[in-house]
Amino acid sequence: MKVSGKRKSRNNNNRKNMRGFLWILPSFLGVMVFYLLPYADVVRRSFLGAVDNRFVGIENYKTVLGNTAFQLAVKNTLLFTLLCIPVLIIVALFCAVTLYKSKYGGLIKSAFLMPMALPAVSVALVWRLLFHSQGLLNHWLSNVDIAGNDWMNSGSAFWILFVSYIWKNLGYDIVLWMAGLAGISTNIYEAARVDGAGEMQCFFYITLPNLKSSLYTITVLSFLNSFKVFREAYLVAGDYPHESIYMMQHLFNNWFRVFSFDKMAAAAVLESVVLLALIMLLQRAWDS
Amino acid sequence: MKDRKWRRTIGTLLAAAMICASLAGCSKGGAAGTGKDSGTGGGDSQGNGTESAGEQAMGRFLEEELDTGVVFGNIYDMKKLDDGSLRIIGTNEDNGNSGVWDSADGGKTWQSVYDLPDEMQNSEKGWMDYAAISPGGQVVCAFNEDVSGGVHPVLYLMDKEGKADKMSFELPKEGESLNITTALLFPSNEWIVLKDGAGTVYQINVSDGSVKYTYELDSDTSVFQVFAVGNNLIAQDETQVLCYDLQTGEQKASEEALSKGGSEKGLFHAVDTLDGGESVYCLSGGGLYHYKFGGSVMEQLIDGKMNSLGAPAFYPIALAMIDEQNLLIAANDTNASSVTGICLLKYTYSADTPTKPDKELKMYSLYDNKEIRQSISRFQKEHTDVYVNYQAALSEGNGMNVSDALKTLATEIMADNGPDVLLLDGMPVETYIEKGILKDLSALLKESGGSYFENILNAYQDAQGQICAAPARFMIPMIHAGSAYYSPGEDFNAFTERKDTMVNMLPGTVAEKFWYTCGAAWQKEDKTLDEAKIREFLTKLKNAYGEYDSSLEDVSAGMSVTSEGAGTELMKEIYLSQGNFDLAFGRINTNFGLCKDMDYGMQQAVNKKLKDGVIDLMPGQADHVFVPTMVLGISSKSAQPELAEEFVKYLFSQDAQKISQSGGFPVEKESFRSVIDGHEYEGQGNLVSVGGNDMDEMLDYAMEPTPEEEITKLTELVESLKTPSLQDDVIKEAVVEQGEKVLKGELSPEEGAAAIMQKVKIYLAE
Amino acid sequence: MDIKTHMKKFNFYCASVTKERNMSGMRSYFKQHSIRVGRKWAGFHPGRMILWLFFAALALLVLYPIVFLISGSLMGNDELASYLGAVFLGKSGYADFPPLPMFPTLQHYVELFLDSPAFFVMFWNSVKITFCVLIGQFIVGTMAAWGFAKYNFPGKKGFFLLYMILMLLPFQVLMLSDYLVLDFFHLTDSLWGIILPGVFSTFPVFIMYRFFSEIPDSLIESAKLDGAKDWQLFLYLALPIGSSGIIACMVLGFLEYWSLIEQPMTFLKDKSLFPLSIFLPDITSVNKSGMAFAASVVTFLPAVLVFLGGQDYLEQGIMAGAVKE
Repeated sequence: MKVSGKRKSRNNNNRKNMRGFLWILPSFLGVMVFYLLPYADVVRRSFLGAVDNRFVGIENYKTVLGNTAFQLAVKNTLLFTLLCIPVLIIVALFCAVTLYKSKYGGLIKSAFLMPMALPAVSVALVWRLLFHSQGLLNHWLSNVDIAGNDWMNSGSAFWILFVSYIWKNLGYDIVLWMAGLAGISTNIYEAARVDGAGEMQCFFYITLPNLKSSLYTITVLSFLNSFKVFREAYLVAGDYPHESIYMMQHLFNNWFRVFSFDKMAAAAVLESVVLLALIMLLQRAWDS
Repeated sequence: MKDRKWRRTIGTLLAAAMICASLAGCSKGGAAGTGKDSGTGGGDSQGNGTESAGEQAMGRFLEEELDTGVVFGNIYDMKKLDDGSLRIIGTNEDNGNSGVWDSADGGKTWQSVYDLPDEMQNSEKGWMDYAAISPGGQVVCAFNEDVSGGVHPVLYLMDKEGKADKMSFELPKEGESLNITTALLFPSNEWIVLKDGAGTVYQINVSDGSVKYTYELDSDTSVFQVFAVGNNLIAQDETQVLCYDLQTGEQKASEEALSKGGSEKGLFHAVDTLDGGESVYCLSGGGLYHYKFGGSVMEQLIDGKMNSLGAPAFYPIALAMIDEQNLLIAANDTNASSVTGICLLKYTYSADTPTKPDKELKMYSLYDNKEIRQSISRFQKEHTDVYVNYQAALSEGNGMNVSDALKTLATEIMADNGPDVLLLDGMPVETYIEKGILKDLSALLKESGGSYFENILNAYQDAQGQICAAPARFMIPMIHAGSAYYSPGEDFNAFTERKDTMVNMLPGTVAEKFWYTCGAAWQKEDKTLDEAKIREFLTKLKNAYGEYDSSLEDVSAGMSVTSEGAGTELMKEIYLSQGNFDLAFGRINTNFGLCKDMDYGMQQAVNKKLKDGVIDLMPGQADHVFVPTMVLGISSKSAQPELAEEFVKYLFSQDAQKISQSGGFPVEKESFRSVIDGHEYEGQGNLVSVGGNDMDEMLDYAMEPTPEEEITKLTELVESLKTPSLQDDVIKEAVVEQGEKVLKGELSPEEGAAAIMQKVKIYLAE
Repeated sequence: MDIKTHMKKFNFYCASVTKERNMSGMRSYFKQHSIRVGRKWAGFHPGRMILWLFFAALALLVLYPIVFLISGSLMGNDELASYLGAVFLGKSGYADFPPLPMFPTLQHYVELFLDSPAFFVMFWNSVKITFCVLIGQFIVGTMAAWGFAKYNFPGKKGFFLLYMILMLLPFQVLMLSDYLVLDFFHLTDSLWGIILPGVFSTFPVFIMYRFFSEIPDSLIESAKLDGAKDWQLFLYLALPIGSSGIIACMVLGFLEYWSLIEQPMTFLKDKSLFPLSIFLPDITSVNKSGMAFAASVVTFLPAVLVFLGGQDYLEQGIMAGAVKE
């Protein structure tokens, strides 16, 4: 009896293993066709010439790494990501903590969520009117006697993009943080208060440590959304924006247009390697 | 057991997904009604491609231009009479007489029946606007008599043999001003239908000239054009078709399909019927359509894309259905072989020709090109087995910009779905050549046998002698000015030292025009730009331009609001011909821009006003510059290179090169001459007055051929050209944008140059 | 045991789970919490006031572009031309824009709805794309997420990592290869070329995975002991408990696919297949800018409705995913 039971459970385990995969299978087949297959093609292309498909080894990687446009794009993309995501996450946390404890928080939160529903094309339209050298912003500034600026054609373009990103994603991140806050049991706070902990202490010793696990999700999602800001940048400023907002996607776009598929593929592979490293790093940081 | 249920679950889910998918697929097919129907997934649609090979639909109308023996200077109307013969009323180009011709053999030969009476022949006495033929052969003419104190419109009626009589009908005056005929129809032997300048349609009894019914059609927002078959009066505007019964004068129930078809296929040019008005044949830019009144479809009989009907410079005058398989079209085709452009085309149904040509050649450009359209329609006439599918990506009004279009083009070329022949208007030609996307044309060009301006043809020749792209046409940046502002041979330095040469010009336009003559001098060996040269360009240009007058833009902006952009467009044009009137009447002191055709009469007229006008190459940092246009290339991934080569060869042949739709001078010498020599004015010698936008400004324009020495002068000038302008839209855009700011005084020339360099730096580094 | 008792049992489990894990019970937490806090902060606090004013001002600022679009869509061409001439027509001076139109008119909406048949076609294309993608994601995505969350199989971690990287890759990277694959299946210039890659997007798997992992193993084990089969677990346990997470995912999916730009621009050539999101009349001419405003508002509206309707679920859904690693 015992022996047979054991064997059965091992069988069960094997079948269970396979079954787990079966659940994923439909999705995986699609992913394979629509994402992995193209990705494999990109990797293949990164070793070939652009149009003639002749094997060139790692020549493309060398070209790309030495390309000043690529360096600029990497620099800008990194700068943007490293600056925006922490700021967004911290500002959102501040708003979430404040709004969470309030009656009208829901209303304000809804207002913050609205921009997310605005299509990129419309956002671009508004941006164009606001930040044009003869646009609304300069009009307002001239009313208070401040000299205007050609916003999209100077270094301030970066900050417009920055604000635009925060504007669009603040509501989303506030909701995420609030979710995290709701997950913290009130009992802990009450116990702490009984022990004489103040508001600040509660925040630093209870709220923050308990939110650590939410941070991972929020970071990944904010990162994902940071790519979407390119849409607005592209719709407002076109293929060749001011150099401060020249991102990886601009480069990909422009390479695409002139058949530089070799460089594009190599850069794409490099980017995905960086992404992989980043995710691994994040996971490790939060697993520990 | 468990596993089986498992599979069943997955199966059910997948089936559900499939059902959802196919339902959605059906609804898609129903609503959009276009594109491939992908059915339940990839499998179905894969079969679509192979389907047509087996059972090819047969039968198509073939076009043939008739050599009539009579050179018509004009044709007013053409009709098949009740007795089966064909009748034309028109003018004979040879002696200038207007008359009536008949043909008993379906249009092959025409015999003069009678000339119109003398009082209608003499141009001193007035002129004829419209004429129409009735099924019985009577003719009505709308004639404008020159009388003391103005013009008096009258109707002449001629019976079948030509006995003429004035009709008693008097067109009512339209307030104070003169009222004129704007359409004249003769649908039955009893009535004439006439539309006047106010939009009123009169149905006039032939017997006594009395008005049977009137129809008020036009309103402030829409203008109708009228046609009639049998008892049906058809009125069409941009959006709808209305039908009236000529028997009762009542409006009939709307013909939905005709209305819809009319607004989709474009305005009708001419209509006819074979069954007394039960059904109607309509001719529009889309081709020939047949519609049975009360029916639900407008059936396409001839696809305009495959013959002259769809060509841009083709204006049908009259349609005569001989029978269901034969028809004649009289048209004005400025590129026809006849001198006057008036031609007769016969269409015959050929049952053993495939409905759709079995070979398809894809032609791609960003912007619509009329010369290409014209050439395609001629090429297809010669090659009935070829359908040239021409796509002008940006003209389709789908909100695409250049960048998106080029990306789509790149994807398609890489997927081997791309075009066979490319018109490189706005594409980065050099980059395309570098990447190996274009095939070498040098052998083809040698074969084609024409005599070309080699200096221009070889603009894109590389070190190995390969020519992967070649301009079929070109423009020349030129300047036209009085001696006070320009002396011949002046260089950029000397010209920009002068003051007031650019008054009343928009900064952006000035920058763009000088980009052509200067940009070519900026490129260094390593393809980067010389910042010092750009700075020099901006500094000198600003110096010459002087202070910016901001009211200029407001004037043009104001114009654009009132006239839907026409005003601004005009001021922003970069062509030389645009400034003729401004120069002649002193609004501008110099006129410069791209010269794309020679208009000798206009040149003389302007010179006469200027007293001492000079025309010369436009000064710039580079000299002897030309602008390659209509640059052609064959995709190296083309699946049918032979056909593509044949088409490109055709585009470089005299037949195609002689087509002139103001896309530039032909690169083939013989054609070049025929475009500039003014042969169409041979033997006329008239002096006419032409007016610009302002009605008070008239220039005396001599309609005479260009003198031989002028032709030689221009030809020699073309042969001296050596520098192709820099063809790079990204750089150009940056230069024009920053140049405009510098000229407006928003940036200093140094800042402008730096800004250009910054944009271009990234671009060139990519 | 027959299946009915099973279902009752599962329903009971679900209920108990909800109570225990505060899935929908979070709202009651919310309430308790805010009531308590409300009492505490009932007194007058100048600092709080300033904070509130700040938030209200910020919210207004955030909403400004939306007000801007709506009021622009109600202005006539002449009014728009006089306000925006500086930007669109190159007139001197500055653009100006009052929050309310001087002479409100519905002209642009009329033009859009009555005179542009293309607009409706585009609207329906958007609807088709969005709903087909969402239905597909609902089926394929939930299954995959469930598989990742509650089963162990060799290489699971690797697969999940792969999914995450694919989720983060920008579209431009795969654009050409995507096109080649779609072209191979004859899916270019068809809505399916947009829908199918959307269905297999890995983003919903990532979101729902976090959600399904929340379901306690003990619950699943006890259901299994009662003889529940795998598919029953999925249908009667995972889906109901996960409903708010799934809805949240669908709301996000809706926003994403409603405003899709790159894919349709690359894969569609036939104008009659274009979705609304790439409908942007040439706004450089003033005559069209009113249309652009109106089209923006019409595009924005469905997204807002879905958003408002789904907001509660969105919060709950994302919450559960974010609560615990």
